[in-house]
Formats: sequence, C-alpha cells, structure tokens
Amino acid sequence: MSLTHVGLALTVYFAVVFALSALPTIEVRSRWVQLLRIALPSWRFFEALGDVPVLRYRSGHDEASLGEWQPALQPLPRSLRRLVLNADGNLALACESLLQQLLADLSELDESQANALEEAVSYRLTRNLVETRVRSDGGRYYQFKLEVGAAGEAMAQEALVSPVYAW
Amino acid sequence: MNALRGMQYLVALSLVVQTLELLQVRRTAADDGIWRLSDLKRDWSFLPSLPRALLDYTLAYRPFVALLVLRLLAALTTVVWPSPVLYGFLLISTLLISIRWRGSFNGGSDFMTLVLLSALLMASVFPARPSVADGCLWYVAIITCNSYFIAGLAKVRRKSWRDGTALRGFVRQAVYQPPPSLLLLQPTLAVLASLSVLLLECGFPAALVGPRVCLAVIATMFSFHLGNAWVFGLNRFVFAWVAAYPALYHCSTRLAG
Repeated sequence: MSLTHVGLALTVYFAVVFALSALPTIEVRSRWVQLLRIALPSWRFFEALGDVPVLRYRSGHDEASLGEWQPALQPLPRSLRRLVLNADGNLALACESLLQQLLADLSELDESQANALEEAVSYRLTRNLVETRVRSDGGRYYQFKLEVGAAGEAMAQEALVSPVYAW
Repeated sequence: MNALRGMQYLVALSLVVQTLELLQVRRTAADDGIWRLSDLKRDWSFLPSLPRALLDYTLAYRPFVALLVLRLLAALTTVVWPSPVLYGFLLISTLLISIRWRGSFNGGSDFMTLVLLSALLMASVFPARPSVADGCLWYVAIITCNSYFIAGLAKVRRKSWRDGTALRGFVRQAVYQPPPSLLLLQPTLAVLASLSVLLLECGFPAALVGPRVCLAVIATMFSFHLGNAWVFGLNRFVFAWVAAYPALYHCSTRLAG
C-alpha cells in the first residue's frame, strides 16, 4: 500500500469516526461491562455539565444529638508537586466518581426500593467513606446525605438522606 | 526501533507514577477503608466459582498491596528488560486495579495504559519482526488520535462548550480550591479557552500530516495536559498520553515518506 493510499485510508477512517460520533451514547448495564468498564472507553471527557453530587454528614456520641452537617470532601490546595505525584488529588477524584455512581444507582430505583439501595455497592462504599471521616472526628453515630445541584450554585435538592448508623 | 524504545521508557515512567500513588492511598483498600473487599465482592458475585475465588484472593488487602509492589518492580524492570512476561503481568495488574477501585482512578488514563501495554506486549512477543513493531505503533497512534478527536467532536456539538459556560462550570467543580479566577471572572477568556480546546482536540489527527506539524501538535498538547493537571488534578493523563507521542511521531514521519 503506497503512502497516498495510507493517507486516503486515514482520511476515510476519521470521516467515519466523525459520522459515528453523532450517534447517541448507549448505556449498557451488563454486570460484565460494569466489571470490565476500563476496556470500553467513551473518550467523551468533560462533554457536558451534569448534576454535581455533594456528600454531607453529621456525627456525634449518641444517636439523638448529632452535630451540624459538614462536607465529607474538602477542596485540596494546589501545588507544583501534584503535577507529578498526586495521590490525594486522584483519591478525591475517585471519591467524586463514587458519588456519581451512587447518583446513577439512585436514579434507577424508586422509593419502594430503599432497601435495595442500601445493598448497592456504591451506597456501601459511600457509607464507608463517611465512616472513615467519622472515625477520625472521634464520633460514634453518623448520618449522611447526598445533595445535587448545578456546578457552583447553592445546593437545592436532597437526593438521599441515610438512616443513622453506628460504627 | 527508537519510537518503540521511547514508548517503553515513558510507559514505565507512567506506571511508576500510577503505582506509587496507589501505594500511597493503599489504606483505602483495607478492610476498614472505603473500598472494602467485603463490599466489592458483589461486583463479581455473578462469575463462575474459579474466577470469583481468584479475584477474592488476589484483591484482598495484603495480596493486593503485594501486587502493587510487584507492579512497581515490573515497570522499572521493563526499562532494561522489555519482556512479554513483564508486559503481560503489567496488563493483567492494570485490569485488576481497575476492578479493585471500580474504574474510579482516572479511568481514561487507565484505558490508555492498557492500549500502550497491549502494543508493547505484542511488539515484545515478536522482537525480530519490524513490521509487527510498526503495526503496534500505528495502533497506538490511531487510538491516540481517536481519543482527542472523539472528545473534541462530543464537545463541539454542545452550545455550552462553544460559549464557554461548560469550561467555567468544570473549573468550579474541580477538586482544587480556589479555582483559577481568570477563567471564572472573564467570560471572554473562557470562550477563547473553550474554542482553543475544541480546535486542539478536533484538529489533533492533523499531527499525522508530517513530523514538523506533529512536533508542534505534541508540544501544544503537552502544555494542554499540564494545564489540565494544574486545574483539574489530572496528572495521570499527562504521563499516559505523552507515552503515546513517540508512536504518533513515528507514524507522521512514515506518512511524510
């Protein structure tokens, strides 16, 4: 195959990619796909602003007197070091991704399926996330909630409020 | 082949950075951490008993930390000994890490790592065949072009990207505070920055036109990734995509004759 032919083939290829990119994204909920999601990239990074989940929790030494609601994820300071090694920044991104997974699971259930939500992996991991915060605060009982809103706007909608748990 | 060697070194660097970061946050995978095995097991409970038992054992905290340490050593060893065994191990460990954290740690960069490792694995299986190495480099170059081109096409169809509101919104959502005030306070700057992103991503396949254009595109995209790392914390994308650039440059020189 000559170089002209390779160039032509590439042009046709990218034209086909251009045409196919107009097709809507298909959501596949197969457990195999979920397990091996790394093998199926969408490449549609930062495509559109969606709902932003914010996790808040409150904790205390007894069930009846939990403290004020506070954010479970705090913003991190910028530094040049993080351009190379950014373990806590990537952990924060992973926690945000976990909240997006919880939001997706929540949207698939109705109110009668509250027990099913508590069994969902994303819910249990979110509870673990809150529990690690509560343990470092020295609390024993805790409750968490998920608020959803547009980026940078005041959070208006409560998507989920958990029962009170103890660890 | 120089391009393949360059890719080997850069992939090793990318894997070392990724693995050191995962080792730093390993406690999140412990039995009292966030990603507890007892909760995650539900993800693969539908598998037949043998693969399920293998995942249960490999992804338990202590064996998993051992896997990360071995991955670090394997990545370093590929610099001097790029063997199929090591690349096979690195490929499988990348998949296991993705399952362990449910694809949460920069999923896009994990996929790019898989692409690079599969190409290096194939090239290392047939070291005496330059045509195989050439094919592997073309595979990486085309996937790299796809990644930018598809990301750009998806954005360009959105009005919020064309008028700068999407970029301002994403900057507000970033895990770092405070966000860069210039982008938030000056709408004109946000529009210019948005249009630049669209132009860079949609125009990326032009890098294959020839080596001079390719070098210019690579330098620009390297700055773009550094900017993303600074604003959004996406440092892994810098290493994963830069590791693909030797393949891109190689293919641009081939196309230019």
